[in-house]
Amino acid sequence: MWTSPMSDIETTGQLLAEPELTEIFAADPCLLDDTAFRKLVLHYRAERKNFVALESKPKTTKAKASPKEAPPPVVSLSDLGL
Amino acid sequence: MALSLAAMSARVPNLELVWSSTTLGTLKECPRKYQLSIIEGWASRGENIDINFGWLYHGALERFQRQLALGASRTEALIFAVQWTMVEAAPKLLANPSEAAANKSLPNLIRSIVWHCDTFEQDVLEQVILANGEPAVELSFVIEAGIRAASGEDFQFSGHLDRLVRFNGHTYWHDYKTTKTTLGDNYFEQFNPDNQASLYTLASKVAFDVPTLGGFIDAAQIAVGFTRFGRKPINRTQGQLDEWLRDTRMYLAQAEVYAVTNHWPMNDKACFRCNFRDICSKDPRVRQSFLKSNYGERNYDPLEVRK
Repeated sequence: MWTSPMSDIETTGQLLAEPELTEIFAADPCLLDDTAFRKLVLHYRAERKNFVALESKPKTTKAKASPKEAPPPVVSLSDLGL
Repeated sequence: MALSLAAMSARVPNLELVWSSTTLGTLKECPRKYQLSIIEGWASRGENIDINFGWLYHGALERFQRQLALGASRTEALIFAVQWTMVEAAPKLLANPSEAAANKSLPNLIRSIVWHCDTFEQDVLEQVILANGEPAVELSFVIEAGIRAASGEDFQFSGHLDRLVRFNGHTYWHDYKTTKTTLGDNYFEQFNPDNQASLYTLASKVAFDVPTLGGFIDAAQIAVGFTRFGRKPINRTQGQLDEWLRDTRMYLAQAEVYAVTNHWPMNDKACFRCNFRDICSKDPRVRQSFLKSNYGERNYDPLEVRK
């Protein structure tokens, strides 16, 4: 039977209640409990699912490039007075 | 002194006797870089962030594997690995780092750990369990190199295998890497030939009595908004390992000459992207003061055992 070794890590002070993601990263990790770390895991799991779904979408072919613009007219040295 | 005294010769100042892939690789790259980064222990600030990020990533995945082997569910093991990382990361990594180190932030680290564990949920590489029931993760080793210094002392090799795995009836070492680079063939080509891969294959045979053919590299490309993963097998024949050992004998003999003469020559063909380029490009008389003002110090112990 697996028991979490989390209890080995001492929490100090009052735990933060239901912190947001930014609060979790800004907080002293010793003020966070199991639910905060679970929230991180679930957040990044969901983010990965979105990323994988986006990556597996067939790539749309780019619209055909417009024909090249005509090259600029050749300027002769005499046009420049040289 | 940044290299631990236990790894050093008692007879020749600055002669390292216990060589890791990091120290040997740095010596091969440039003796002057070896002097500055390994013997004297100078490190640029960006380099320290990279080292901390990699260390935390390895540590989290090791803890994840260990908890799985102890019977935890993947989610339980992952939650523990994330908690360990958050506690260990402060104050090594920042939630909002400078732009230069934006991809090595704490949120990117946590994301990469979670994504790694989920990406390889149905893994074909099977974790080796040791005879004592422990998973073969973070295996520290020190082995005799079979090479004697002119001082009469014996050289050793040391290091840490991330883990041992089974695939198709064979055992392999398995190493995690983090990088900013895109994970194409160009990235993986750097491991063949490669100092660390050869040493790890040799150590698997000698220290852990594993008749291994080589290993697997699992690389994570850490970007600001995503992490991608790639894996390649790295093989070594016995002939390649023998050659690596013969070459290493020559490098260690050179290291002893550098230590005895107290001169570590600059390889000025290896300065591209070197962290010490700014230092070596200055007049020798002013280098020390630039090192003190622009670089941090770090200690390195090739004999450290990871737990």
